[in-house]
Amino acid sequence: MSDIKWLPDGQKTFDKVMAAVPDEMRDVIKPKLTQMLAGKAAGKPVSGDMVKEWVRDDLPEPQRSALMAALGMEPDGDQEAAAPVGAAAGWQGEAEIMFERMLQEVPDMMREVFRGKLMGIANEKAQGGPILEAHVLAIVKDIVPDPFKTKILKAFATMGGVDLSNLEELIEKTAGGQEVVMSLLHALQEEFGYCPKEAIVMISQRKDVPLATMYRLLTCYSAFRLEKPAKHVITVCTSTGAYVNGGGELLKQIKAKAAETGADVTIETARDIGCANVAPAILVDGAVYSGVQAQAKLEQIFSESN
Amino acid sequence: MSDIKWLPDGQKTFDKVIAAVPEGMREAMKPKLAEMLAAKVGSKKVSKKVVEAWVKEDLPEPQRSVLMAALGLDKPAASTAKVKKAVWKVTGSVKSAADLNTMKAVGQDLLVPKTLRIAVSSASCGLAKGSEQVAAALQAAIKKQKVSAEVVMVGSNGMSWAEPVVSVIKAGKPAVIYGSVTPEGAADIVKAAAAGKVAADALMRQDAVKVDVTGEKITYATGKLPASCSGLKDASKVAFFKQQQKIVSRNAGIIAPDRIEEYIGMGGYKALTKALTGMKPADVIGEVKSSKLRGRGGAGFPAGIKWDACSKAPSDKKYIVCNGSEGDPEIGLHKSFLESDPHMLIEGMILAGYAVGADEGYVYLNDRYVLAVERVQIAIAQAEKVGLLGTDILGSGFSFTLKVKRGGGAYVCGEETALLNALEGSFAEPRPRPPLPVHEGLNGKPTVVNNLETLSNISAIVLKGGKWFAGIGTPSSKGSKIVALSGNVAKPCWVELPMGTVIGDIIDTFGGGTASGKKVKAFQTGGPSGGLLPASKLKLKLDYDALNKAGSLLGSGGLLVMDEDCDVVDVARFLTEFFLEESCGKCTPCREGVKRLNEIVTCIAEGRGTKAQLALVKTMGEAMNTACFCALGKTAAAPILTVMKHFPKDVNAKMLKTIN
Amino acid sequence: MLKLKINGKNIKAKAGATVLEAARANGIDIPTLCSNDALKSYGACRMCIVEIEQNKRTTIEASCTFPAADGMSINTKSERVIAGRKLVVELMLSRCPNVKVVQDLAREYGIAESSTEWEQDNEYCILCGLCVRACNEVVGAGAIQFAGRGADKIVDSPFHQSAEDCIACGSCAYVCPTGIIKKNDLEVSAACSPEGAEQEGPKREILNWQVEYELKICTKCGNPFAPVPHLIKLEKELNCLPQFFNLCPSCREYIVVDKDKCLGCGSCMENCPVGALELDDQGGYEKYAKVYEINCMGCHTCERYCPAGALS
Repeated sequence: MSDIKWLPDGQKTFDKVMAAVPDEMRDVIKPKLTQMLAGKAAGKPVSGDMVKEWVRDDLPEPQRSALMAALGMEPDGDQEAAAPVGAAAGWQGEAEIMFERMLQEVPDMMREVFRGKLMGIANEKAQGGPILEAHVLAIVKDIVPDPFKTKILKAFATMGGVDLSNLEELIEKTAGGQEVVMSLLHALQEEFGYCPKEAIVMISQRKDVPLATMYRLLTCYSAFRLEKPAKHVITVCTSTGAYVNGGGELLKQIKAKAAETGADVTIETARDIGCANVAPAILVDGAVYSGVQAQAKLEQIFSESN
Repeated sequence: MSDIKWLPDGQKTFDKVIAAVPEGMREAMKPKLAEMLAAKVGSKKVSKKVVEAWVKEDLPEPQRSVLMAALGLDKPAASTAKVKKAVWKVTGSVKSAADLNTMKAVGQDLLVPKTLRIAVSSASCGLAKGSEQVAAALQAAIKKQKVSAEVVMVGSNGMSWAEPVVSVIKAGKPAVIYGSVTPEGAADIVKAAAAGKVAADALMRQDAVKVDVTGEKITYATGKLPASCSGLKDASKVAFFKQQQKIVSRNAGIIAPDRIEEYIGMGGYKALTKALTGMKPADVIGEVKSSKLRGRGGAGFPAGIKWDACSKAPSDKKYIVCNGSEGDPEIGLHKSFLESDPHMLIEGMILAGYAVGADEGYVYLNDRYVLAVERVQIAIAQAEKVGLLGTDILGSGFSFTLKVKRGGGAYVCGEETALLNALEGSFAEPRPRPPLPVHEGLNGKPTVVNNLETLSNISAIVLKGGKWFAGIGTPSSKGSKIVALSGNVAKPCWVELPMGTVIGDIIDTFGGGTASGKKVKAFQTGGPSGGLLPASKLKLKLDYDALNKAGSLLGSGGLLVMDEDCDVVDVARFLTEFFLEESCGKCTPCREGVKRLNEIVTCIAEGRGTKAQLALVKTMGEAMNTACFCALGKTAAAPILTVMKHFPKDVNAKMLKTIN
Repeated sequence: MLKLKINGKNIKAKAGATVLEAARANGIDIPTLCSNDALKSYGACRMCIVEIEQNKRTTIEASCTFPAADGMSINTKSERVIAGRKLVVELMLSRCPNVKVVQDLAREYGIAESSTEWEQDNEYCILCGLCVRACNEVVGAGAIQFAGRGADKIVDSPFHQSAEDCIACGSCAYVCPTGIIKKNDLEVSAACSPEGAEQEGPKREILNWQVEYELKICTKCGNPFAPVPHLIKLEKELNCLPQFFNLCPSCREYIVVDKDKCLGCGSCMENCPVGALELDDQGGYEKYAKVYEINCMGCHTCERYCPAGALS
């Protein structure tokens, strides 16, 4: 900063500018901005007005508008007042949620200004159509600087069609690293019937476990499903005891019937559902059936699709 | 609506709510609902969750239910009908032998109450046959008939074929045991019980339970035998119970697994008290050593030697790990036992910790053991509440904590190093040995990994001494063993028998022979790794060495029976396929070997076998036994090899018919 | 030193050595497929099995993981061992008939082709795990792992999508014994879209993990030299001069020690990330820093730690 000849109000104004820069970026930005300003000042003493001029003339959007607002400068005449601009033709998919998440990173003071600017850019990209997820993603990748960009992209990776708030709570409550991942996976499996990719990404991020390791844990154990199961899950007991009592036949029958009726079922096998005394038994959506009751339940399930 | 800060999904959810309002009312309701919501959230942003919470908490009935349904918030009732379970509250603490006695009295009062106790078996084998519905029916009958009685969910007494089993108990009268109870029969049982009579189809009576190991006696009947019971045999004279050696299963089917008082009433935690107040850790190890207890998981390694090695390993931190992974594809052997009496295991683990100097333990359970996980966790919580787990147990200065970990579903985790990997949150594959877990186990610290049944034997050994234990069984195999009968057997069940019992006798006495009445053709002990043995070997005894010599193994105690109609080659194929599904894939000879083995065995089982294939299977089996990383690969060829050896006729019949 | 016997010969081994290390140190060859000096022993291929007699018990163990001990007697070529190895080789051949290292072993063990009773696959990955272990243990990127289990086991990027944590360092391709990991450095690449092809700068792609990254261009000579993510990772981990990330290995300046200024304090040696510095008395009285030029990568971390300014 020794290059710049500061006038007191110039220093104050510049400090205001720095105060408006988000905490995480300040240390990085400060020397850069100082350098810029020094270049502009070219040895001349820097007043408050010069700082303001520099903000208006030399800074890129959307920082420009935001800092102008922070300095209490009048927005340009040809800019609309910071009235929230909506998506011209609506949003596709998760795009709106992504957009909101992106804006969350902006300090409160500047958010509405950024919203206006970024919405304008998004509308431009959309070219009259709805704003797509890809558009928002592009804005984050091309315009948003680090460290926000990485943070936002990480957050995007955990967004999907699934509500992960329960998982988030559980992750907070459960202390530990990789050694607690299995219990989180079990909880996921119980809540959703499978382990959604976004959830896996979240666990990977929060527990600092490489994603490749998470994927291996998911696939080397048979307890976890990677895909959403069908409406009904039929688990056929395939213990040896059940097998010698005709369990193999039952499994074949069920598979054939499912193929024939096109029923919305996931057929799985399990070695031990604790019912060898009623072998062969099946679980339908978690409840045990055997013999006549099993046949009746199966008929009910398979007739649903007709 | 401009007051509310909508998040996109919040707006959508609110729109859904409005859409669910009957058309005629919508225009009027919308602003009111919006106002309500605005008042609730203030300036907070409104997401889907917020709207849902508002509907759940703030809206009055009947709108609430309707709107919840519209939002899909009314989750369907759990498909396994559950009797409304009141969580059992434990009061009191056990800080000394005197406290233990006090709680013992409480437990014994619960076990033999002055009012009716109707105990319903509720381990997995019972639940699978509908014991919850029976309990609900009993509950309803009690209410209707205005009888003073309590329905208690107890564990399984091993008579799986007779599930659901109901025991009617009242102080002074013999307990009456009913089998195959249906919800329809509940009312009669209650009526009879209230009148001091016996309903139809009672199986047997029980005058008292003498717990040999702990020295306690639970007396039901006092005085003369009531007339109503005259036709019933006393349980202690029924072969099913008389011929058992109930060491670890001494409480199963009698106590409620979620009442620590009842476990203590049967003499539970006496062993722990004895050890912590009067024995040194080395003494405990000494008893286990002299008991000659061998690991009940399959390898049969002497537990005392393992404990000794661990206790001598220099480290500030040690662990006790219970191997409950039991992936053997038979009758969930230990599942029913653990669900019936979790404290038996817990007490054993605390004793193990005391003996080797470990202050932390883990119970690793199979992924499918959901009920067992629940019950063990409840038992742990109760033990903690009364002070038998935690710091300074019984004032001895010894502290021990216990946690349950649920596996992810991998048979290979029965192998102790793979189990340790899984516990550490890593992948299901074994580690090289050495180092042995007793030197470098969980998190690199000395760890005793013992089977669930092995650990459950410890309290008996401590109470009655290792010498007593060594007096039961055979020279090479001491004590008792839980055996679970399944397959083509008339009465699937689980029993505890002294080592040395003849296998054929087990099938006849307890299993009632084959279900079809036909002769036994083959049987399997020790899970898939044990292969199949022919009927001619039925005179083999329950004995580690004897079964090893016969080319099989004792394993964890499953006894699978196959009758004459069974296609043993197909069973061998089924078991080889099992190995294919469960191979972890780490080492080449297992991963590729089991794959190729499976191809050949399938070919043979489908009737397209050749002599060349048989020869190749033999070579492969031997080489895999040599080269594989762990026991899974080493024994993967056992099913087909044993079938080739013992059932040559069956194998011959599967050979490709040449046109000659 | 441990005293043991291998194939009848008395040998000595360092304490803590594995049987494999003891054998190799004494010129005795034991075949391996999944071992690498830089990586922890895994024991997966089972080629290195040997027969070990210890305390009157004879067992077959993988020599790469079994610790050598006093009094052991080892047979690296017993009948059982050879039978075991032959099975492994034959099984490998049925899985990977066109992989050179497997074909070489088959020739060595007299196996012309895998059993006709088995089906034959045409894989190129022998599942030795070297790539996975290199990525996780040495590089620390953790971008790839095994996935699935048993016969379905493969090495994969998570969810079989582009490996986000990959830094394209190429270590996986370097350690792979079969050559199945395809790492390509492209000087010029093009992004094709309906509007036409847009030329893009030099890239590195690793096809197996579906990754493609820009290569950094040397500010001095203009040649591409390292993938950008790799440099970003090193930037986080190393405490060296920034120029290291802008200059290619040919244009970097390497360390020279000014002996007159050197104090022999060893700070440089302690902080060198690749162990290229040692203290050496070079025949004189005092010890000075000595650079192993072969290892030095020109990062100048040592320069930052030298209190005497003796390194440049």
